[in-house]
Amino acid sequence: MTGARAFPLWLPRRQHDALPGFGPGLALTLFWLGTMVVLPLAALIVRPWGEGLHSGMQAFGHAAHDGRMLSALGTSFGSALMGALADLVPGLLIAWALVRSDIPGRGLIDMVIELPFALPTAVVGITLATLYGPNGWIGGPLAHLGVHVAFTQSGIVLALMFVGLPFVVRTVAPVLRNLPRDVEEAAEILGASRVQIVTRVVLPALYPALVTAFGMAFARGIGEYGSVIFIAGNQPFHTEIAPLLIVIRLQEYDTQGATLIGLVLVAISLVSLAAIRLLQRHLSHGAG
Amino acid sequence: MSVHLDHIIRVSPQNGRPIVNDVSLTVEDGSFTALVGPSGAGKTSLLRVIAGLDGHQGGTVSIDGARVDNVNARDRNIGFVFQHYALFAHMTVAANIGFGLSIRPRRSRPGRAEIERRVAELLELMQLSGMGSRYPHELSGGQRQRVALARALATEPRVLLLDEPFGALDPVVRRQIRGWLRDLHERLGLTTILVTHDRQEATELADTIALMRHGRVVQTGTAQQLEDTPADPFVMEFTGDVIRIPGRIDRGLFVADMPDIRAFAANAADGRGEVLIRPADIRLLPDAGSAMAWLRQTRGMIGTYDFTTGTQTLRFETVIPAGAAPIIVNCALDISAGRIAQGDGWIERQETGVAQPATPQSTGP
Repeated sequence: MTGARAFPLWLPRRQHDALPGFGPGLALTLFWLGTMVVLPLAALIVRPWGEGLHSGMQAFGHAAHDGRMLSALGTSFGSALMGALADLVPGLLIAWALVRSDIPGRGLIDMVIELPFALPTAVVGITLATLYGPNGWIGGPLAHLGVHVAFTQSGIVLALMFVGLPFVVRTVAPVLRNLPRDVEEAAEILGASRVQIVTRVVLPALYPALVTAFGMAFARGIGEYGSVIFIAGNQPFHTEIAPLLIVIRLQEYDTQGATLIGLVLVAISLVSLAAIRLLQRHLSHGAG
Repeated sequence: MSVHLDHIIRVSPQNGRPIVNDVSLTVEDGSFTALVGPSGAGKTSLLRVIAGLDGHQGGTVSIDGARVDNVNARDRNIGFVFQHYALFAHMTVAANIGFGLSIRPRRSRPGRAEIERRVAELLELMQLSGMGSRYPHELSGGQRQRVALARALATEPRVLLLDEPFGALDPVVRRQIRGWLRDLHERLGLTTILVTHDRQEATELADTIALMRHGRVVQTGTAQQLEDTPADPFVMEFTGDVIRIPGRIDRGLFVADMPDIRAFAANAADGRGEVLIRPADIRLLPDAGSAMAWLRQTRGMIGTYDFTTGTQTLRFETVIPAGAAPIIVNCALDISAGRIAQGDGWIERQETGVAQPATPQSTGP
């Protein structure tokens, strides 16, 4: 392939690659990765030490005792975790309905599923806050029952569920669609009840997809800002999320503090994603 | 266990057309029956009706004399091997095989050790010893096939149903598994129904063949019966090589359109007709006409001839006439051992004695 020759010699020569332009493609990928991902991340890592090593260490020392930051991180990760977990069941059911049933208007539902991707997150937040607020259509009756959604952590989880749901549907549906029907029939003939078919045959085949979906919804939940701040109430130590705290710190001209939170956020996210990756590899041993 | 089908009708849920059209069939206890036919004949549909995977709109299915029409697939205790095996990809081979036992309700479920013993036994029987901890995707096609078979046999089913089980295998493995499957059938005393579109496979494996077409069973019998006394032209073509020679019936004689083919007695009304004949039944008659037969290839007593008369050439394999030269000039053909077809049926009973048209097992509504 001529494309490969045009680029530095250390690039692996891919003589029989069906994809043309492997060399330029790889270069572009590396460039993109470098400028868009690695550089900002590096800046994030370097920034706290910008005023000297000593000052950096001091900042970390402060941060370790900064209750507000720690609770904001706790709120963020806890809510993202709960939101992503809570998305799995409805996401699975919607995917199932989309793939397996002939409900009228399936195409429309299929389209609407992606709306949370397209909506400005602030719109989502305001809508949810209105609906679930003490005087909202849903929030009002709930308040009567003593359940408060808006301005509590439940509100945060609700917002994160909303933005995370499409990830679950979109990840699970294709896997479900490709799941051969004869596998279920085989289980049936072997004497499995419908519940057993679902729990022993269908769900295990979906576990890897569910873990991926969980990972994506979780990652999205950690970084989610717009939809949450309108419904969360943003009380420090209670319903304040880490991304909001970053903005607050920046407004206080505390760049060092803001980057520190960002750094911790990135570190924990990386570890969580790696853990999800491992779990996924463990689960998908049988497939492929 | 015997399986009895009585006037089974299954209609396509999409367009309401019959997929299985009034099929009656008896599969004797311990027999190996093949449902054979071209694709779209309704073989697999019939098999699925027997298994209870698909419903039927008319008729009854009985296993061992008891009607099972209202029995769920899961309670029929039937072993089913799917065309693409349908193994559980996320389970090990051992878990696949033991599945049918491990999902039983607590009361009737064998203990874990007992399941393990049974799985080991089946692995041994299927020549898969030591593969219990592998995953299906790590196996070859032939091995997957045997895992699927072991899984179907684990629950000691009354009837084993096989849906084109050899379709995805290469020819060598296919032949091996065939012989081995027949052995297994004998050894375990199974009642087996096999769906295939491969006539040779059916002949090799089954003791009874039910030939299907357009949702009906056209003829049932042994491979030999089907070959010797085909119920109609379709059966004759399906069960072996056939040469078709068009012609007409003229005052009690069949006269081929080609010259140099001997006319022979046909007691039927005048009209068009076509002779279907097995190549081996064609006789070359030296010094009886003006055609030329050219021996192209020889295999023992059998030769491949190009028979040229006028502008037409027929190629067939038949017995080499005694003392004939490689090129026979001035010859003619005797095709009186063939059958005369008109449309979908035979129009004349053969007086040669061997050929007695069988009555179709299934008659239309």
